[in-house]
Amino acid sequence: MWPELPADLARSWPGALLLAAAGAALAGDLLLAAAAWVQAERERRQRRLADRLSLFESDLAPPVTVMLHLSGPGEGAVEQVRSLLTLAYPAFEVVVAVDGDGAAARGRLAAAFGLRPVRRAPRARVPRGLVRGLWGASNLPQLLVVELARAGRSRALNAGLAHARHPLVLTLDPGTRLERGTLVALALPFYESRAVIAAGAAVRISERGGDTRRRAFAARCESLETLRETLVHGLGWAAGDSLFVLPAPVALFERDAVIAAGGFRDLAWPEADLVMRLQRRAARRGRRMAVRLVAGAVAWREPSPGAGAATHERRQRGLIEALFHNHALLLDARFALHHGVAFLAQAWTGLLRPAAELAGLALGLALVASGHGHLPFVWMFVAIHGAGGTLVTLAALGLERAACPRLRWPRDYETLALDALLEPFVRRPLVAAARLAGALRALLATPGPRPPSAAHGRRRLPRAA
Amino acid sequence: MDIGDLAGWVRDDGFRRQSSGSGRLRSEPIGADNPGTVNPTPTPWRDALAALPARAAAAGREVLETLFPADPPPGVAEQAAALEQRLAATLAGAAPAADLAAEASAAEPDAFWAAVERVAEGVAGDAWERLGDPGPVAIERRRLRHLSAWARALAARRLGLIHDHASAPLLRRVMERGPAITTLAAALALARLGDRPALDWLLEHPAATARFGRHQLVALLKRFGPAATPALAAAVEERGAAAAIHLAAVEVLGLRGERAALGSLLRLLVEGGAEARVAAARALGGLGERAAIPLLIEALDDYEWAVRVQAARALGALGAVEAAPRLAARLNDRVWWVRDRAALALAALGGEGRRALEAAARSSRDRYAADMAAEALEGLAAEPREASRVA
Repeated sequence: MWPELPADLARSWPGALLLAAAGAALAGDLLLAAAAWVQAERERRQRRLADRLSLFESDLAPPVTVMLHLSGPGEGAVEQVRSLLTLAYPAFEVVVAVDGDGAAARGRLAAAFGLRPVRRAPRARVPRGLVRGLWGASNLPQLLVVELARAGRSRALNAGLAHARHPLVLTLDPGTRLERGTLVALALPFYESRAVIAAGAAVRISERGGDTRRRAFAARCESLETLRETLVHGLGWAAGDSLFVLPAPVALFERDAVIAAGGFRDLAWPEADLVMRLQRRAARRGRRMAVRLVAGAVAWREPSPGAGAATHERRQRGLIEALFHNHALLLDARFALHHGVAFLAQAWTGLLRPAAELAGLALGLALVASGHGHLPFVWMFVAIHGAGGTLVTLAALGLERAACPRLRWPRDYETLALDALLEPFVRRPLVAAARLAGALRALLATPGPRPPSAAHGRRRLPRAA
Repeated sequence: MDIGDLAGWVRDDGFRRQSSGSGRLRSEPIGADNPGTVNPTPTPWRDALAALPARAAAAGREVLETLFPADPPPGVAEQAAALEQRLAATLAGAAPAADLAAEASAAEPDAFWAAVERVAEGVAGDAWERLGDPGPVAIERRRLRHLSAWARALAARRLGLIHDHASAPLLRRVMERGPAITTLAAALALARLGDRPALDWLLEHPAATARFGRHQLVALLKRFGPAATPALAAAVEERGAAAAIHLAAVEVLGLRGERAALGSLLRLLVEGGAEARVAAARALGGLGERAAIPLLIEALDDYEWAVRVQAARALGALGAVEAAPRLAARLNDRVWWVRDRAALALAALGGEGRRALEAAARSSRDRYAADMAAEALEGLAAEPREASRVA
């Protein structure tokens, strides 16, 4: 009986269901790729028309607060802050929120920048005892270091927000480097339209030694995955004014809108939850295209250790938490139909897609192992999941060339195109497993692996003054 | 081994390749001394199979090029770099325009315009007359009649960059016809030309620019130059500041320090809507007219917090010492921004402001007011604080 079980499953409704799920996922991805192509073309035209020089005309650029959350030893913090201070932008400040276990990081910053205690009245309520001290540098008035008791990412970002001076606030992860012109590219949508309240950047995986082919296969696959998430999914949803998840850990927000929406909540992925609340707020006020993705604004990060499993798990948990807290996007009749469609698609991505992918792969392997490799399920699944997945990744490579070309033509594209053939069967099962674990943790409400400094429980959120 | 290496086994590139035994490939040219005996009996299917990866790669590149063309296209950057030097020499009068025209005609039009973009901001308007009439300019003039709004907008932007006065009538038509994207691009081009009829049309048709952001409109009006300031003052005087373009005009009057607009701005500060009062208060700070101080002090009690912010800021900019007590009272404002701007304004007032801040820091019952005053004093002690700008 057991050797025949895979074949029986493949011939009956479970097999059909898995094929339908894979087909639906592929169809969705291809639709998003088409929408992303339209959006990339629109962006390209706008880029040619953009009068960027106007931004540098004295008072016209909206000033920006760059917020960086540091926890742990903070190796590389000094270099990151230095690189932030050299950004090409007319008016900005850098607020570094150093978490409770980041004394070493604060020490490094103090030694490098000659920090001294300063006073700055917060513009929103901060929980008592959270801020241990404020530090500034006499020769760098645009730098502020906020030393925090054990806070966690959300509370640290809220504390940074309370001390931010400027109307736009950029959040970014430690280890993420911005290109010099990224801030200008991100601020342009705010300059051009009053409706915009958030803009996300495209994150890229940095190339050690500058040669794509010398990098490990895993890092190249991560590159492909990042391109797919940013350019196919991100740009695709942005084209339909339904961007709920900013794919990169770099985003520029309108500070007052963030504070009015309640700031960052203590969830596994606070930015996703915030963007959904901002979308709700924008929809209530009739603001269209309020959340944008700027593919031309590029940030870089190192490849994740261990295939990025912890990151995928955390983000999946965060996505499901954010969907749960923002279910009004689906159920509230005041919101547009496209928000409901996007919500369902995100719910599908968050809850079912990883399980369907893994189940399909497992059934295919079981069929081959039990000598039933000739069954139609096997080649149909390979065609949909493998060839279809590769097609979507190739579309992402094409979008990279059109929207934010940083790879060398044609050798990097050729190398990555070859990798795209293998990636659906090598990298994606690992990612799907990590996402499934994250989904299960969210559903079972078990805390996942968090940074040691993170505290749990509900937090008081900053309120608008 | 990559696709190129696999394709190398085909001998159509004039080389034969074989393993050197150490895993590396070596290549030798095929010629008289080297008849190419690696594969003496090639079969059609084997050749076709060996060529497959190269053909697949070439087809992939072609698809990618067609669907996702690079921006700028390959080779354009190099052409643009060469044209940039020629263009700079021509505009400086060091090279004849005919040479540039010949070179521009031979290059991609995008390369010419990329070169123009690079030098545009550093070139005075009349220097562009030395450009002559190269081929790419004539193309863009024709494209002002293109069916696509994007094409018209791009043509308008490019012609504006080179201060092409001959295109002004057509640019005006493009601006008036819309849609918004072409209206803005053509208006910016005409602003570079300092075209007064275009400015009048914009001020008379506020609906055409209602969707644009304030910063964008301020940049547009600033581009018309100082000569346009009287027209802006007249428009504000006649039409008030209910529309976005007129609010932007108020901002520009403040930035230019147009003292003739004092009466209009004071009237707006008292009678205007919320946005108009904010813009007027900000502009009055830029005017430097002390006659505005009494009304600005009154505006410190406006029910709109944004007006109070701008009034405090303006009083600081005007050095209105007589406003110190009222500014000190604003340290207790319920809105953080008002407290912040009031403290900064007091810090800018010199001794009187400093004493008010010290008193607030020492004895204010309001913790927020004391904090804000202490912060401002600390800033004074360290060095003049960089004036942070609030949009």
